[in-house]
Amino acid sequence: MSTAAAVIELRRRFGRTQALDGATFEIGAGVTGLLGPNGAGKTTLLRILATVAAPDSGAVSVFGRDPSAAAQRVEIRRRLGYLPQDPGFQRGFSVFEFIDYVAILKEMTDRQQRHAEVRRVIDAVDLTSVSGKRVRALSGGMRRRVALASSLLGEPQFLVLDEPTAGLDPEQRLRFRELVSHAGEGRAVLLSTHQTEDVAALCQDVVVLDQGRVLFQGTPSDLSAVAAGRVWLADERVSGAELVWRTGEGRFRHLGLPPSGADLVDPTLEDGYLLLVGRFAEEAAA
Amino acid sequence: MSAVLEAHTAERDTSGATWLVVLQLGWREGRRMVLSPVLLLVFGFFMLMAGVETVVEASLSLPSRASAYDFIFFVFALYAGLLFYISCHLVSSSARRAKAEDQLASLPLSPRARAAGMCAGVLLGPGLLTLAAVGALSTLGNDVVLTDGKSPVSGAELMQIVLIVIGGGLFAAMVATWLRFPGSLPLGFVTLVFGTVWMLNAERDPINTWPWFAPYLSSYAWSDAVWSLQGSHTWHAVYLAGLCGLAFCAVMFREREGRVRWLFVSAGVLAATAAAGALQL
Repeated sequence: MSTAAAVIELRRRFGRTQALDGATFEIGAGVTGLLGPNGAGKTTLLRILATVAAPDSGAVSVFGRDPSAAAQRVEIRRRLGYLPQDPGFQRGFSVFEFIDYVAILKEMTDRQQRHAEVRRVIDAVDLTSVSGKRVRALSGGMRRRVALASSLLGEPQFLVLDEPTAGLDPEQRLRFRELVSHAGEGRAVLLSTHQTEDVAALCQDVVVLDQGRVLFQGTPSDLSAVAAGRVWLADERVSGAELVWRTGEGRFRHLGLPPSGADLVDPTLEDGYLLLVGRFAEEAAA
Repeated sequence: MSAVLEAHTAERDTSGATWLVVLQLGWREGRRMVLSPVLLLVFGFFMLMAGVETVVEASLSLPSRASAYDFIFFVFALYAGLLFYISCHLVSSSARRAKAEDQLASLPLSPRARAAGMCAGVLLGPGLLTLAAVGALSTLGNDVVLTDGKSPVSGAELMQIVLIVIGGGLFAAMVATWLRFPGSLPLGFVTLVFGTVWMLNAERDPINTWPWFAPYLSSYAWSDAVWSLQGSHTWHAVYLAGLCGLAFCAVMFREREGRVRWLFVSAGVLAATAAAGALQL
């Protein structure tokens, strides 16, 4: 795998909370999904990769550059697009003005080219009709698209997206998939999300993070395979399974060790993720 | 590494581009400072009051040169510095208040260059507007007789108006840069107002020179003073420019990287300001 970014033994503590506890992995070209429960350390990891925060210890490299060195950090930022979890917008900016403002900070000095690029990203997120409206007057989903548009400025070579689909309607999520899939062609995208369907649909690689540690890195099918032979359907709820829920068809989907003669089904990426995280939580508790 | 990734890891030559970005950013920020709703509201109020005064005095004719001079002079000499302090602080602290700092921190323009853009905004927005107002005062002429019987102020004093407004804006940028918490705007405002009033009202005797050190228009600092200390309006303008420079240095000094260079620059500006402060007396 060609390496766009790498983290080695990354640690970061906030007071009593160990947000990152020796995380190590590499990201290559294409879309990499970052999965993990709340508090797993995903946002901290993304902020470090986006050069916004620094780790307490460990090494970070983006395109072979070290973000702790000022000059190299600027070089990384010139190739970076970052969508934070809770993007903020200054009062008074219209959609166009806000993205144009970010474009200036991205060192786009030619006014005509900058405006063309701003219009391109606004169109890419389907906001052309509201480009003159105040950002604060838009709905939460639209504001998220404004932030996404600003992260796409200049076709960055490394796109760091923290829960980009939160608040988007199904149509916009599909549009988003198209966008990210395009952005991942020959470039690197790190996508943190709770939507396992997005990961299954988009990602060539998946990293699962929990309690600041990397539990898994592999392909989506590798993650699904974690649950191979451990997912079955039954007409009744069977005790002893790790997780059970009633499906839309009225049958019970079970995760865990199946009883003999169980009606085994193909596992999904979500099944693999749930088993992995559930097992880790049990081990951690023990 | 893939071919596309490889192609984009090559270093880019951006030498000289930063100042262009800072100027473009300054132009943008300056426009935000001048078009701040707070400011428009207050200027609207001034215009309304001027209009009401005209109606009350039943002089429904066009304002005379003297009254126009009076109006522009008092708005810019007495209030513009404080008003632009508010609008410049609102713009300077907008990213913090909107919780947009993470986004901005991931962009290539450094925090120091962004701060420089903010200071450029003070010059290109409030500074240019005040320069235009001062230009209007000059155009109105030195021969007008003002309503209080005073003569129009000199060229050096007119420049002091521009420097006071720029100083108010740079002081706001400094407060917003260093005091990154809610309430820093009123705290800085109160400090600025009461500090100035204290200096102006310091006991006036022949050896008390405090009013000269107030960040204020020199002729109004001692216009009704009983003491006879004389000074130079031109050096007071230089002194005010020095205060502006110190506020700018304080903004630049906020970032840790490259602080040593700014320490030397600040020391030079401080020495020049102190010298101008002494020479004005």
